[in-house]
Amino acid sequence: MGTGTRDTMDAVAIRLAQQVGDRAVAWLGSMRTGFTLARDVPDERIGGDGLKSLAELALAAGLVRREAVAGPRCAQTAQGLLDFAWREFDEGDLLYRLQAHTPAATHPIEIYSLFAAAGYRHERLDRLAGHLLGLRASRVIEHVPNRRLAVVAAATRIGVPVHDDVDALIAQTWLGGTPEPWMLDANNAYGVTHTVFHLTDWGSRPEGLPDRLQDYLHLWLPVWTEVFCETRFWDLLLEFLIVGTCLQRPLFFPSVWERVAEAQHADGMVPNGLTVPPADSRAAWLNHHHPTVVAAVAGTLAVSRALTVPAASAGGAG
Amino acid sequence: MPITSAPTPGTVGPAVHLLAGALTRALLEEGDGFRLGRFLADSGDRSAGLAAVRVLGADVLTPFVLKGLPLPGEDAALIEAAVRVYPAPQDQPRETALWRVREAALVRALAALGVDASGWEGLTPVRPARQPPAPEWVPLAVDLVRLACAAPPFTDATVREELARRRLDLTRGLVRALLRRDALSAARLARWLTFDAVTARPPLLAPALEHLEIVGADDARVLLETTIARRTMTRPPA
Amino acid sequence: MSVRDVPAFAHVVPTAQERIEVQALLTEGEAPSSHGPGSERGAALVLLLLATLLSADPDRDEPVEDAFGGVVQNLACAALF
Repeated sequence: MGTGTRDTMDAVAIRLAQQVGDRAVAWLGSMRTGFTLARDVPDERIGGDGLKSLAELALAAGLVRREAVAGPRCAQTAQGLLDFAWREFDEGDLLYRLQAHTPAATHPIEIYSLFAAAGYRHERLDRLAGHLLGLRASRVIEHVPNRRLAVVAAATRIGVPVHDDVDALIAQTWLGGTPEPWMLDANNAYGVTHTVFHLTDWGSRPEGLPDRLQDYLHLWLPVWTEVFCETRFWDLLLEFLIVGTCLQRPLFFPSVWERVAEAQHADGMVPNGLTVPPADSRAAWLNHHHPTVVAAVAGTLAVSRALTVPAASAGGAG
Repeated sequence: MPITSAPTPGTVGPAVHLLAGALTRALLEEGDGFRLGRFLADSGDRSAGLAAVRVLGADVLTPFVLKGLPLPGEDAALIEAAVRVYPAPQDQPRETALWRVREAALVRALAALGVDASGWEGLTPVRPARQPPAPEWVPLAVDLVRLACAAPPFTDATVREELARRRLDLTRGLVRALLRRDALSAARLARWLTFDAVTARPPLLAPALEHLEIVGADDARVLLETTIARRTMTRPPA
Repeated sequence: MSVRDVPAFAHVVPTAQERIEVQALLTEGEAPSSHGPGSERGAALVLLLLATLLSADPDRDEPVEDAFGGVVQNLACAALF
């Protein structure tokens, strides 16, 4: 409760966000074998959740590198994780093989784009991506609306021209409809966060989010953050914290950072807030690596935006 | 789903729900048939009935205030009896401010109906000291939920001016209550949002009220709040 | 009831329990805890959602017969990401 009591990131709050992010990255580093792909099966039998986890690890590590606000140890761990993830994907070969086998799938391109943004390129996959994203088929994928934006964002990161009508895609998302704000549920909430992530490229282009959606989030993000902080739904709450950092006038919610810091375990793992983690960290990995990845991203972006945005242009939470 | 407020165990909670239901019907029906006295006579348990009158405070006057009907003398006398039988506590400083605001709303509503309650036994003696509204939106909403029976139509001009600067905070409180599935609090905040509904109606108020009328239909107290809100909104400006 | 009956109400003596109830109901605030998304009750729905996603990977309980190859991964990734 009381998420709106302070709304600017003072030095204490910045240090707290940095601490949460650093510890999360350290935990990810110590648990990286959990992200190893199953290699005793044919490519197409590698589980979707394994691909997703490794992609998210690469995302977090790539953002630590992109923002360059981490201390040397954290930066080194993140770099190691990015290299590890690239190796797990056979330096792009695995992603290429998956994409070539199922050309209509988008996840190999989406994953690859995270590496491409960090300068890890795969020439043949670049060509395949350019070809596939230029087809009529790429504009009629039966994805949920925010996922279409993920593909657009991936194309942009790789450097492939985008032919989609992005405004029309935005209009199909939950956020794009600016719905009655009490109609948010957990499922649509993840849709909202990802719509923002993709349109702003994880905060690097806040202007990518249309003004009317910036205004809408300034109205209601404080309420959603308050509600999910009270119920201690850390996984989603951390995604909301990222959303706040992606706005042109960022919202930081420093008192929420205090609660997140309290919830983080001593080893750096952040529990998801829905299920109680087992004591053994290897067993806890399955259901709690995602909130910890999100914590690494949220901490990194909060520190970076707080350091670069003049206090006067940061939005208040109340 | 816990979308309704559970009555406190005992006799008073059920009596409050019965009285809230009677007031809602009185507000929805045409005509001037509602009598507090008849309700109390029919309800049987005198002390629980008077307790319900005390709990609902100024809200028992809404059928008269919102429909422009005169308050019968015996109904005024029964409200005076309820105040005397259940006097404001003298020894609970934490709750004093709450009682004072409630009593002030009751006295003001009675005065509007031509009844001078200033000397009634059992009322909190001191006029409410003006407290500035909480600056943050969550505490503001929490406070306003507890002060619902001073909400429109019983809000004075000073409070309306203060609320006019807090429209967004009030709406955030409403949204939060709906998300917490706290229908009674949401209905109370929706009612507060009608403070200037004649001139500036928040666009989210209508769908929120409709939502609450459906999901709160099993809770007489939720329906009383939404019904008061609706009548306040459609009342011609004073 | 008429005005003559009002004195019967004026001399009501409430029980201690009734006084406590009046005080409690009169000072009642918002619900002490949320029942919305992320709460204990809300969590059950989210877990259901996660379970639905996990069921896209049927290998946990039963062998995959994916003659085309990659269909299971394709469907899982389309839903998961």
